[in-house]
Amino acid sequence: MTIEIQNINVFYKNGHEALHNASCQIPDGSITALLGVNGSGKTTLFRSIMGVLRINSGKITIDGQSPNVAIKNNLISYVPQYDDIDWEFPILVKDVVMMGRYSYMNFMRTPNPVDYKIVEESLKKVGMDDLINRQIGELSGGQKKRVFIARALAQESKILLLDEPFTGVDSKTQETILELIKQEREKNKIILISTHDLNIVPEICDRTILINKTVQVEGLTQEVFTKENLVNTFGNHLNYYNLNNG
Amino acid sequence: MFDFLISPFQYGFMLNALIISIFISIPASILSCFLVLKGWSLIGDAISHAVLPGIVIAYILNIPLIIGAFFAGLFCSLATGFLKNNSRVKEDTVMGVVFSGMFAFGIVMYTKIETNIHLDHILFGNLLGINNTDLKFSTFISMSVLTILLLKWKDLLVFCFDITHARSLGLNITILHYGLLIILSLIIVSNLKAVGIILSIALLIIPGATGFLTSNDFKRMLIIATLSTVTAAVLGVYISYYIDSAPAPTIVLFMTMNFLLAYILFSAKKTIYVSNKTKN
Ligand SMILES: Nc1ncnc2c1ncn2[C@@H]1O[C@H](COP(=O)(O)OP(=O)(O)O)[C@@H](O)[C@H]1O
Ligand SMILES: [Mg+2]
Repeated sequence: MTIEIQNINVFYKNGHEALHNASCQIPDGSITALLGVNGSGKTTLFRSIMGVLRINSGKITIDGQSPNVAIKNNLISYVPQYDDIDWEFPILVKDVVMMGRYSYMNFMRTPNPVDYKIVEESLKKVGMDDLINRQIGELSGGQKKRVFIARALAQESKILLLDEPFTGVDSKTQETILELIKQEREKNKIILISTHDLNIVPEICDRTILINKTVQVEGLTQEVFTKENLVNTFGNHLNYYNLNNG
Repeated sequence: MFDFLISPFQYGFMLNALIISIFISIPASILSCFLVLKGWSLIGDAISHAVLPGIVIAYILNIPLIIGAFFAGLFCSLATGFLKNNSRVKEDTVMGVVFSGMFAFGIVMYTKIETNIHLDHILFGNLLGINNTDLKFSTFISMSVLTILLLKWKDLLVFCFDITHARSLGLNITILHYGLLIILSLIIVSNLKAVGIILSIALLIIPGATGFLTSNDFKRMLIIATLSTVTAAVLGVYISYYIDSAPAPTIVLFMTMNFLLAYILFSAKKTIYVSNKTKN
């Protein structure tokens, strides 16, 4: 299975063009990094894949079919970036993770014992099983991220989209997330991670996409992740992003 | 004491007023929770005002006023959505233009046309003038809306909380969006006879705001919103009888007192959130 993105242009309602002629491929059984500065269109790309934003031209297919079909088949789970969640929302940790199971449930979304078991296991995997009755705003940055990772795990989809999962998290959380993502790769999933943290890229990402309003380069990490390409994408920001290697 | 409790209800109109207040409080409170969390409180305000021209036109065409009100409300929300999607103006701005325009149009028509409609009944309701037909109609709408909300509250909650996740679950966002707007219009119309345009806005904002202040969890928010509003409805009808005031505004006063109580008991922190949301 592959996500294929062909020459997409995406405009926001205010007329701003966030993606211009962007193309890339994201295959399964691997972890793909989506790298770019703030405002380069990473979140826009995720939203386009999810079909919450209409693409103005070009084409996105998932396994040869439209994103709508993929979504109907529960193929995609999505971990939103920090700012996209309202942290004051009156909802408990366990209920957020249970939301990952809704597509398996009946009309009224009544959980069955399997759903409860999977929610419990997912919370355990991310190490949040002792905080299930907390309101989501009453957690640290790392804990918040873990809840949404748990929700994505509970959803058991073929495709995992993670929008900046490492931003604002502690190093223990980062280790946990990295370990879980590696395990998911073994299940032959498509995993796309946007990040600012360049250090983790050579460590775990098989493929890299460099984005700045358009896809500048994409391919195997060992070929794409060169100083020259990175300077081209990040420009003067490169030092800011604290690159230690390459 | 017993006398004190039942004496208002020797009058049929007082009993009707009590029953209808309770029946409209329950679904309105639940809906209010979703509106506050979605940041849609102002939409309730807008639709409530926008029903006025619908009522006048329905009068002219000699069709049930309720039908005119419903379609005017729906027109307001659709027109707002259309203008927003096709311009750079923000939603709340567009909404303000649409509903005040429609309201003004309604008033102008009203003053031009000989009608037997009382403007103050439309604006403030006529809780003591409720007849059995009104009672049946309001009960029917309230119970239908309540059933839908209780069956689909989880889907609506995901829709309010994380729309991208709702999408990834394969939920139909368009149906949820317009479904909620239609329910909102229905509730406003069903409240119209009892509490009127202006006070129905209170029923769509205060319960959710009170529930929000007191809760970390949505189920609790629903329960507190509903209980506090039903209590206010019962107290409002009673007290208005003894102090000889209009029941609908008295109910709203009690709702406001509940909100203030919640505000005092549970930190002021969350209020800022509610007001930010309401502005959106
Ligand atoms: N809702 C929106 N309306 C208008 N412009 C937006 C919206 N969301 C993002 N943008 C703009 O689109 C560009 C890409 O944004 P985004 O995809 O969020 O970038 P990233 O996730 O890489 O930081 C930015 O210039 C941003 O300002
Ligand atoms: Mg982003």
